[in-house]
Amino acid sequence: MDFTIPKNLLLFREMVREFAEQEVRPRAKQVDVLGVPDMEIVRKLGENGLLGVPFPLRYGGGGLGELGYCLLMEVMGGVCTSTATTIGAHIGIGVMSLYLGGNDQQKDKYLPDLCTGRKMAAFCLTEPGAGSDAAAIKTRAIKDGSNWVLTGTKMYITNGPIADVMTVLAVTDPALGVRGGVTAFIVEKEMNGVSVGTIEHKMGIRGSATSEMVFDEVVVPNANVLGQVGAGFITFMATLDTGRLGLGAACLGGAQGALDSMCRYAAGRRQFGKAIGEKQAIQWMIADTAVEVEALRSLVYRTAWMVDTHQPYSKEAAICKLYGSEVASRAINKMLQVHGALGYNRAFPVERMWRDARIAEIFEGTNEIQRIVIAGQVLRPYGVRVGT
Amino acid sequence: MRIIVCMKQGLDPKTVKISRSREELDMREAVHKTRFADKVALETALRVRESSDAGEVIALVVGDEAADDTAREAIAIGADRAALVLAPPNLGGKGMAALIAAAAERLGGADLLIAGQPDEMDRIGSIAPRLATALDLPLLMDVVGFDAHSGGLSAVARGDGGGLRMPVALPAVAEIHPSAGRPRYPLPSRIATAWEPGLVETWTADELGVSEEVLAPDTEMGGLVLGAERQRGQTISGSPPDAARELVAQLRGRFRGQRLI
Repeated sequence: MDFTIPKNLLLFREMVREFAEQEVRPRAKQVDVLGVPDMEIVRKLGENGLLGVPFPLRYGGGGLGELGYCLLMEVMGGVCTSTATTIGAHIGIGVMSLYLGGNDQQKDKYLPDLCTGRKMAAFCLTEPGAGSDAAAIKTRAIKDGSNWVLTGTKMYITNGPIADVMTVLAVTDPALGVRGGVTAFIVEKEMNGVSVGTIEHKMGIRGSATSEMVFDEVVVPNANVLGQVGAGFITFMATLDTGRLGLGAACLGGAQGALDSMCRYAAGRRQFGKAIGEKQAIQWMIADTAVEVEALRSLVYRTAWMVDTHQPYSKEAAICKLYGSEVASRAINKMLQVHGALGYNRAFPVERMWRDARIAEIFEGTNEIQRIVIAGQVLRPYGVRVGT
Repeated sequence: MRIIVCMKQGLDPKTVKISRSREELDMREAVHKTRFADKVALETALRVRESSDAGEVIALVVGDEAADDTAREAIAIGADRAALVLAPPNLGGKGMAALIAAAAERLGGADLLIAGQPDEMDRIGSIAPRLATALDLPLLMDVVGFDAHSGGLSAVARGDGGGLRMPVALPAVAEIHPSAGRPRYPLPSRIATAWEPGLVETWTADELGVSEEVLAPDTEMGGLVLGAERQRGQTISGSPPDAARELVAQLRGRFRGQRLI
């Protein structure tokens, strides 16, 4: 087995680290306080090719595959979770759904602008009555000649307020349900009837934009059906697999950032005449975190390799998301404890990281859903059907 | 216009430790990477290429086989092509200049040869003056930028209280000041293809016709002079206003009698 990261990806990681330190970290606090995305950062991400990293060069992407994307998310996740979330919603699910489900004409039309950041993407799945139960969506698309008329409301849409292009899941044949009755559409924000609904005010990742998206009798041309009519649910579920891996990578970055931060603080903070890092209680928190971070890194990189080598990875992606989000939460919680009262102080980034981390156990499929996905795949050979 | 940017790897000072007990540098975790000053030089060349909307930027790297990474990084940043000259580890300035001069000729010559300033870890020192001497070309020092215009090229050099603009008689050699401009990030799409085989032309000194005699070291390490040991840092805790007051009090104590700004 070869665990060597290729040299070009090492240079890419170095480039992302430099970009994150120069362009993102200095603005991370302000992004959180203002509670809106920093479009200057988004513009620079696009200009520097960071909004199309995994996609092929022919579409204006970075050509660096899933491992490249995971390295990007790892670095960004350790610097600014809001920015990592904006990138993840764009690349990991927004553009990815177009890349996985789109035909050649659709990819040629949309991907170059999306990969270079001239346009931003969002992935519209969740509805008020369809969160974990994604099959319960009510958004309806009715065929009208060579068009479809789309009506419904999506919620908790990351990048909704800044998206130019959205992939939207809608029911096209209620009788068939998710098995052939649900279709994905490519919707542009300029289409009549598309509007941004309520903006969500969140506990964390406040610098990523989340909103309702309202589709009021939007006329969508047949050419904007993503993939085949009736195949939308499959495309969206496949998209969520890669999205979960990217989220796991961002969690890895957050956990590594927490480990680095607690080590630095434990080395400098002195109590009872010595650095607190010399106390066993602190050392154990650091050691436990280091173990989990190392395990998570192996898991994320291996799963990225599975994607890049075209192996099935649905279970592994769910494990990355589940384990990654819980490792990040534990690591950041321990980091806060090591920092003591300082960690609870809003003047320092520790409490922001703590607030930011919590969502990872919820979005892109709650961790309870991940356990169902994992159990389903583990138990399938034994003939056990896993229910919700 | 063809611009050759002379590049090499340097030690990352953050990875070099000092062993005080043995009075030597601890190089066990030392990392060589593309010198920042050379990336600034490359950035300057790319700006000339872009402003004149024509020409070619070639990265010419001198070093060992690991320096191939620097040649490819230069391509990822934006160089049109790159060449690597393999050189012995303790190469001196004279040998370095001879290798660059020979490689530049192999590359078909250049209108402008530029190099970054030496840094604190550089054993060879400034290469641009040696190169200008070797090639018998005019030399520009402390350059912070060029202006390409219909009449040719002007250089802006750093001067006391401002810049000094001067026309450049090409061909010429220039040393770029680190303040010339922050290097751009390499683009992912260029990174993706920069390690493809055949992108970097590689030559040995022998292939360039540079003799071993010329390559002999012209400097030697006299020894290591250790400065005063740094004191361990101190974390001042408390709320930001309390911590700021404590910091000011400590600074007043440490610099008693001096004016604090």
